Amino acid sequence: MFRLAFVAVILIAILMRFVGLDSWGMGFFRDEAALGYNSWSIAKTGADEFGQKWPVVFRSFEVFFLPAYEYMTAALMSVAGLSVWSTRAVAAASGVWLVIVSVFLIKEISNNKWLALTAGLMIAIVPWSVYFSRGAFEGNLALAFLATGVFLIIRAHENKGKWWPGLLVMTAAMYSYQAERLIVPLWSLIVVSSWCGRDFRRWKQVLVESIPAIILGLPLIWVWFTPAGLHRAAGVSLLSHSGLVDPTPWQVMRKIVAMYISYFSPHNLFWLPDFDRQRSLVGMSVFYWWWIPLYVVGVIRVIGEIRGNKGWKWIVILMLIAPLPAAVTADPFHTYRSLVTYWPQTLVLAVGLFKMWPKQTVRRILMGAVIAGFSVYGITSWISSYVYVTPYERGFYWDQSFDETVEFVEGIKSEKEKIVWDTGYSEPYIQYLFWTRYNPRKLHEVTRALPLDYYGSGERVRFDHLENVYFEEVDWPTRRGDRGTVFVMPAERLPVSEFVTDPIVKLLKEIKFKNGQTSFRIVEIVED
Amino acid sequence: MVTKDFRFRILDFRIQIGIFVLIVLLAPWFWQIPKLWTETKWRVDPVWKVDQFEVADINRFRSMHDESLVGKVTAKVHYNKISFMAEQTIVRTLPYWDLGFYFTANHPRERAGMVETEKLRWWLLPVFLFGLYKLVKKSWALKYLGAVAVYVLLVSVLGLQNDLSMMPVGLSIVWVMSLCFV
Repeated sequence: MFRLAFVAVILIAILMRFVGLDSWGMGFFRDEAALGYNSWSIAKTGADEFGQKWPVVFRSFEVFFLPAYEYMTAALMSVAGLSVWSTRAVAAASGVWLVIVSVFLIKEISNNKWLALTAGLMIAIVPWSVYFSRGAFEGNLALAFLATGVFLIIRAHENKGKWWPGLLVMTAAMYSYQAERLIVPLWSLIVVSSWCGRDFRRWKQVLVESIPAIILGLPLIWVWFTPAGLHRAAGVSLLSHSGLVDPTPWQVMRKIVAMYISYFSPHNLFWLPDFDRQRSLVGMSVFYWWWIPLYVVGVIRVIGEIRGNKGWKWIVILMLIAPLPAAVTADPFHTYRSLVTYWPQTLVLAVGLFKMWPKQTVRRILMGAVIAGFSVYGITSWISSYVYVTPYERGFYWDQSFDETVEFVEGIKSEKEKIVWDTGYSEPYIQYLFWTRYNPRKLHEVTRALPLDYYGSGERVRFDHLENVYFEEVDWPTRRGDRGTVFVMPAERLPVSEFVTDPIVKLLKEIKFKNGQTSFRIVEIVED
Repeated sequence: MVTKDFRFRILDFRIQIGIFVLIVLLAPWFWQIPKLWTETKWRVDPVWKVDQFEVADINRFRSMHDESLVGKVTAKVHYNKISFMAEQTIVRTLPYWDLGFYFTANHPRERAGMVETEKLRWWLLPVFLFGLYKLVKKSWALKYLGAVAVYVLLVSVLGLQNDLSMMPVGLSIVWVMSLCFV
């Protein structure tokens, strides 16, 4: 019975993550294009878009990505080729793996297989996990590694296994996403210290078993101290922004506390979405709002169990550590940076549901009916938001319609002398590379000539054109007389009123978002 | 006959009352009561009241769905008066379960158009958390939290939520804080 139910939970997780992975989406975001194209480039040539062989950190439009996602995707792409599906598949598989490992973990720490299954089911359908599994979010891979590491380390702590597999997997998590670089060492150190205490022999054992992890982590340690390794942290930290007028230590502390507690606020968790519209669904936050009672009951029960059950203690410690990287950045309630925290929180919610489950048959039937009703409501609301409302409302934030625009540009490229793609709003070059499946070897002929200090500088470095397609910020008033040039302009950067009365500006095409609004205007400056 | 244990409990209770009064005096919020008393306009705005904007929203969201069976069903299940009522209740209720609302002037989720003030001193947050830890270990914790929840729910459903109507919740938070020391 349990095995059958477990398979059903895995199937639900697969369905929620893989069905329509490349076709239901809101669009294809520039970060995804960067991950996808660089992975493909690695698969084809062993080098990224800049021609850098086997990089430790991938740079693409000055966003520095940690490499695990790219290398795993490259392995997949060497078989499946470059596509939206293959770019997102590693994140989706990570989401399914998280469900499986959560079941094993809860079974391990609670010795209750039905509680473990409840946790697995809730992870399978929880909005945050499904959302971040359906895009190329490398943080989801990091979380899957981390969860596996947590499972293995807790087993080692209970003397049921060796330390080295867990530590090795944890290092892999640090290669996957920035937040894990802080969370993993902190959490692991706490657990290891608890196990070793003042026993020198135990410290020695852990140190010896850490050697594979240390060897694996050496390139990462090296890159930490380069501008490339620090670029992301420096760019988003609380002190890097002008948010604090007078950053006294007292004020900074207050702000960090405010940010930190916002990651436990039911208001944020159950209702308000991420401030970044590319990171959330319309009308949906991290959890379903009808899970609120489970949160209250779960927290109370888990606090009650901490002393008697060390496994839960480590889960709660992880939950408390996990928002730290997000709390020291300047952005409010950033769900992606705090992704790790929602995993233990979901496990706590599962405890809430399990403890609320009545013992009497009549009550069980009643509660089952209520849960079934809410589940239908929850899943329909998720479908409604994911498939219909969000693509309609958030096309701009998801770089919708780049595929169509690239297709049009490719269609006219051979007939036109010069095509200029405006870079005022986005990073069209990476979308262009992705959607044209631009030959990486041909690209390297251009990018290897650039004056680039790959790890030593975070400064903006770009090629300005590929054949006759140029990527530059267009100052329309000064460029509107460039005869023979085709301009690809985001609609907001070129309103109709700017050219409709001008006889030399010919509108070639208007590309639309799903809601019918114009995303791009492609115009040509013709002879009188 | 008065036992030693009973005398300790009385002492604990007195300490708790003392801490309670001290925190109330320290909190900027409670000093605002006279001002809030004169400024607050009590107006009932229940969630079940039909609102033109809400109807427009329901129609707008429904129009985003296609004519397929899935589209029709999801549009009707998710965008209707009952689901909007439930969501409106949640929208009104949840801010009052947000510690940021009480301790850090709602940062980083300040309410639009509101001048947010720190209601309780932010550096007393650890006191509250420890008090909460002590509370949840008590057998009547769920009943206590349930009573607060019912009050907040009632106020929110009726649309009476404002800084003054939330004072009882504020006092219950201070009471939880006072548990920290006994």
